[in-house]
Amino acid sequence: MARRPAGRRSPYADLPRAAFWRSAMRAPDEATVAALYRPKFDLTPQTRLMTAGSCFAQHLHRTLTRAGWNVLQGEGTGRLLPASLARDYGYNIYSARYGNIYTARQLRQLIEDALSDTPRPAPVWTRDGRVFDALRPTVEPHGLDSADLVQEARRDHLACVRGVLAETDVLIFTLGLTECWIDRATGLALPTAPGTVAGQFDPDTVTFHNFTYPEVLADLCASRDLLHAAGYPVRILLTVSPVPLTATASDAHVGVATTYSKSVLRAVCGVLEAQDPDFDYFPAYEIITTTAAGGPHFARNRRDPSATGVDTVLGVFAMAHGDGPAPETAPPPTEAPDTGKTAEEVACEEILLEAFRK
Amino acid sequence: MIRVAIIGNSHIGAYAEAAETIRAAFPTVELSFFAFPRHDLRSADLGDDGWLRARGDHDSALPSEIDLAAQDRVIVAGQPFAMIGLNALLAEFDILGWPGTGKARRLSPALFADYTRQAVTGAAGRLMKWFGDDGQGRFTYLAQPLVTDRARPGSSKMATLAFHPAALHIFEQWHSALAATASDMPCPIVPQPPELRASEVFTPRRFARAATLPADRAPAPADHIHMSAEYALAHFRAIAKTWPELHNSPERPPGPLPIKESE
Repeated sequence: MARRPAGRRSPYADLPRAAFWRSAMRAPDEATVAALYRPKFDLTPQTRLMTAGSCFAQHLHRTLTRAGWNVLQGEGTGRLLPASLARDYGYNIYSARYGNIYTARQLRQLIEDALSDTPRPAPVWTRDGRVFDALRPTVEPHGLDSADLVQEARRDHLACVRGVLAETDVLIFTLGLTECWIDRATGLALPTAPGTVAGQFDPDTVTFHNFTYPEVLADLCASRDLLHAAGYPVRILLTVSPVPLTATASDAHVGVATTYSKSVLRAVCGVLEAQDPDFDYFPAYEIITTTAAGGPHFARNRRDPSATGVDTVLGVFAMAHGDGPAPETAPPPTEAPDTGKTAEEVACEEILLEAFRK
Repeated sequence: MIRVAIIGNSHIGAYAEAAETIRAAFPTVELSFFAFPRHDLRSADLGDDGWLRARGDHDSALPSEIDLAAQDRVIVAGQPFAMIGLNALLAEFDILGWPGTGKARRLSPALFADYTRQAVTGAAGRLMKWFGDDGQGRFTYLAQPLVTDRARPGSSKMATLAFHPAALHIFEQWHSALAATASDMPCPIVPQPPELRASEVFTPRRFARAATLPADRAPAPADHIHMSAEYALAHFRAIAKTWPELHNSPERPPGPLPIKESE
């Protein structure tokens, strides 16, 4: 064991246990876990929260709602529809029915269109004679009768989004991917490639793009600027999804591509948290993927977060905002860390890519 | 003799009025009736001995209990089959692409169809479970009859939907869900026969209870929700066609239909 050198001063000498890997990561305790998240925003149970983001954000929406946080719902169905049916049609998953928003560009597009008097029409895809909104292709699992109805539905949806944005104090946005497919005709970022849910893949109509750090940063800042310019003083609490890429179109190994994506997203979060008063970062990524809070908290498939992990995420969030005790932290795992249970099912276009695996 | 019980809510009144005519047309049928006091399954108890007994006050002229175990066939009449849920849903939403009522929110037709199907199937399942119906065909279920076009909107859940601008679409989905539930579950729901329908939405006016009552005995406002003995006899014929023991026996021509008020 290394001994503290006598008589010498070091900038590390007075740091808390959370600053040292061995105490914070090998044997986390309440104090080190509490140090994971020191919020800039003073959230109370009355603070109006909006949720959006990649698949992992569904867990946040669900757990925060169940825990009694004031999570806005501007396009829900209440108790009028059975919960599973509503979910199949994209309701009650997020604060509005936008489906998964994997990239910062998608969020920016959504805010632009929601705040616009003349929103852009959505690109449409077809499958078996049915028509799908390419910007949220899973919210209507059977599609609609016509492209006109898709645009009508989109106008209804954007009105709901606008209503939610007007009410929101804090937007909790989970960044999921940097990889994206862009519709060449409109320049719009799509949540998934055509051919996955509906439509046909045609390189003449879509192009692959892997967003860079400056692009992600610019898109997030633009989203904030749009909201503030519209008179909505929304602050944005960023998280990064701990869920790895299902597949990459970048020509890299999926593990390498995942690290690139998560690194870019995490770096953007870091700089915004440090330098911009309108942004903060909540370390759900670290809670799930590292030993900092008793993890890693992955299910047996080593991709999805476990139920315990999701509970721990909420526990850290609640504890930091004075609304709950410290989450239990297990000792670091010596074997497979899995409880065997995944968190509850999430609707995820990205996971559909697995079907294309050779 | 084939012992047949007709039980349910206020809609069994039409069958009670038609009892003598049904007996005349089907002489091997022995009919008995039971009305749930407050038109709700929760207003009666079904005992392990097979007796169905009214709970609390029971001011109907009909018996307050019936031995269902002793019946060869049981007809459960007047069931709403999701009408309550459909009303609640359409009070909040219009349906995309269908004539609407100016609601700010719209559901897709596919979602509406899925909901209707699930709601009807759920209602059928709850009924079968409540009656301990093993699906062998002893029980037959009837939906509420369609109202006539003289019913007042709001006078019943079904009447409200019948005057919705998208009524034709709504009732097409409802009939489709009933048929699918009958065939897929299976739940022996006997639909309102085509000869008793003016359209997908309405029953012809002449079958309304209001149309058969003398003016001095007709309730106000006129009842275009409940149907007449003539309707009940025709529907009973349709039911009988699904029962081999009656389907294969000759039916006698019915005598004159009685005109009397009952509830």
